[in-house]
Amino acid sequence: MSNNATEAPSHWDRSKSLLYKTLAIWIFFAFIIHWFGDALNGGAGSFPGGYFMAGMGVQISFAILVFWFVTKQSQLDDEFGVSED
Amino acid sequence: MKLEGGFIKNLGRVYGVYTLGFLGFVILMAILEQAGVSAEKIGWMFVGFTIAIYALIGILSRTMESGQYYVAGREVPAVYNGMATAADWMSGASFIAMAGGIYMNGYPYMAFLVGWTGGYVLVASLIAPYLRKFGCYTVPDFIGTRYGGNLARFCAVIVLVMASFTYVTAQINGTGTVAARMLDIPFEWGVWVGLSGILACSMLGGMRAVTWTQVAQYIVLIVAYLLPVFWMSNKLGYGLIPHIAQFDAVLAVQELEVLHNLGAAVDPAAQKAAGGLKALSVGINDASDTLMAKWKFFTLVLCMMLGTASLPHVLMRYFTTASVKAARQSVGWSLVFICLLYLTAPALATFTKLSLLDPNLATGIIGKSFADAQSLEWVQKWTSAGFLKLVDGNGDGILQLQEFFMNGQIVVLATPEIAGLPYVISGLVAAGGLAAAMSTADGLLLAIANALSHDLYYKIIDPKADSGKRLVVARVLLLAIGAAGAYVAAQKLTGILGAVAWAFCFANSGLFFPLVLGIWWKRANRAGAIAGMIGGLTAGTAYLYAIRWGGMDPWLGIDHLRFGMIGMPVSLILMIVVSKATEAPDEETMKMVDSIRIPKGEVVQNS
Repeated sequence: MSNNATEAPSHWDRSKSLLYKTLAIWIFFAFIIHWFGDALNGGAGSFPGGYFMAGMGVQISFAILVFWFVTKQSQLDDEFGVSED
Repeated sequence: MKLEGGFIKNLGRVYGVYTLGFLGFVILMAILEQAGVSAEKIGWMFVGFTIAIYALIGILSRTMESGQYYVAGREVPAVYNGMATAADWMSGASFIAMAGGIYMNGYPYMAFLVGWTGGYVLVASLIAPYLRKFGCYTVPDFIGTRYGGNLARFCAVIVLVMASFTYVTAQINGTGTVAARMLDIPFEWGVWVGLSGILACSMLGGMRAVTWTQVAQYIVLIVAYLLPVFWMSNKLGYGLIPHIAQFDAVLAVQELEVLHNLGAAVDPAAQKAAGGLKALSVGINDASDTLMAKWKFFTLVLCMMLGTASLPHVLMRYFTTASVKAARQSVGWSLVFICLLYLTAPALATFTKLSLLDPNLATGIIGKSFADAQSLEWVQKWTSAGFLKLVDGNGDGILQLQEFFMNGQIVVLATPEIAGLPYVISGLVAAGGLAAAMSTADGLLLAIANALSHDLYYKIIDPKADSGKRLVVARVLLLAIGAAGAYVAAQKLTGILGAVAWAFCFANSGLFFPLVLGIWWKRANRAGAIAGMIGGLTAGTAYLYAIRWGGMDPWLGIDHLRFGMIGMPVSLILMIVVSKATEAPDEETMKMVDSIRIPKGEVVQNS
């Protein structure tokens, strides 16, 4: 809010912005994609895409997302010198 | 303990030897089976051997130090904590009931799979690392210190007890079910046998003992879950990797569903004879396009995710890591270890269904002679156990899909027999189910007993109690709560899964927003948190009561599995409105929140 062009964003501002990105991806895999589960399944005989996403695809995405978040947050902590010794 | 320093450094070797030893035991059992040892004896040995190992680890990890008892000395490496969390997390419901749920309810049920994994994104990003930095022993400890005052702490204890106790009865029920089946004793006794095993792991060593038994239990449960599915997939020729092969099987099942007239009416007289057991009536992959179906999927996912991020027995596992960074990484590892099982559950459900439905397979009994099916050994065994009932409703001598009534739990427990695998696999699966239920029960009992001993007794009732006295109180409470849980479980109040979903909704109604806003919103204050906890929990519980026992019709499809949809918004709104209407927290609290937002520096509180 109080950031102007001359003031670099603080560690917490950057952490918040990382959180928002993480949550946006989370919302996509947690909710949005399943809203289209029926469409992803396609017609009879085609690959069951909705089933695949709900039973495997999103879980793998969540795991990747957590490790991505952890790496980014650790980089951020290092950059601001606030990580543990 | 002279092993201690060396133990943490040698974890890989210790658990490597343990895993090889366990696999060796399984092979030994297989050889004994071939040599003609009876199934009952093999079942006994599986249950007895694994419980003895857990108890041994529990006894070796005994401690009289409160840092060890409450948070395992904060030295658990991220990967092992991930494994322990996975065992803590995956309950008897995940192990025994999840594949069955997918089998019986198809696509809509997979909302649980989504919710119970996606919640960890919230744990990693919103909560766990900050609580680790805070340095508390229990979840109410954070609420009590962040917001100040005994009332806030007490409210958090109430929510914790409601959520965890609901959950623990389901787990003791699960251990009772397995113990009763394998040891061939009445369910009511099985519950108490299960409880003794659970307490042997946690009584003497608290969190430290539970951590190392949970790692051991994870290894047993994951081997027990994966081995039969891989075996079945290969034996039945579906493919080397069941997870990939399952998608073709889904399509095959969808064709068979048409063949077997899935969805045809069940004869009321036959249903009456089958009692509470159900015939399959839902397609494997009916991702319905109705708005209501999409909404129900959405709400269930939301409730399970926010519940995951507020269940104290899960959050407290992240208090045991050596650093904030390790706590974060550990969440990722938890998810990996959880996914190993969760991604296998739909494959298991699909293969079991295909085994039963495909008329070209020897195991496919649907659509064939009723008398032949009735004479199968596994059918007789599970019928007499009350998990299965075949009723020839139309008297045509053919077993229709609508005449095959079952309890979903047998999908995991009976699949080895259905698919014609040797009995040793059934024993292994039973040991895995027991490990899953025991590890979760241990985590839950410890969460409750620690909250009562640390927050209620030490922080509120007798702040002068010395550490020895506190640990005695903690153990007495553990025993008492375990006994209460076993007593309630023996009354068989609800199916395993109903109760599990309730625990998530109690937790998210009462704790999610006080925890998250305590970290992310400095303006959140004591009055707001208390209003959020009491209001959310009361609204959720009142709604559950009204729709479950009060005869009220659920609003907008929000049934008893989803009552958090009522509790959560009430909690959020009350917390914001009341916080805004009352004074901002003092300078000291603001500084405390600032300090938990960076990993560097001392923990805020060292109890």
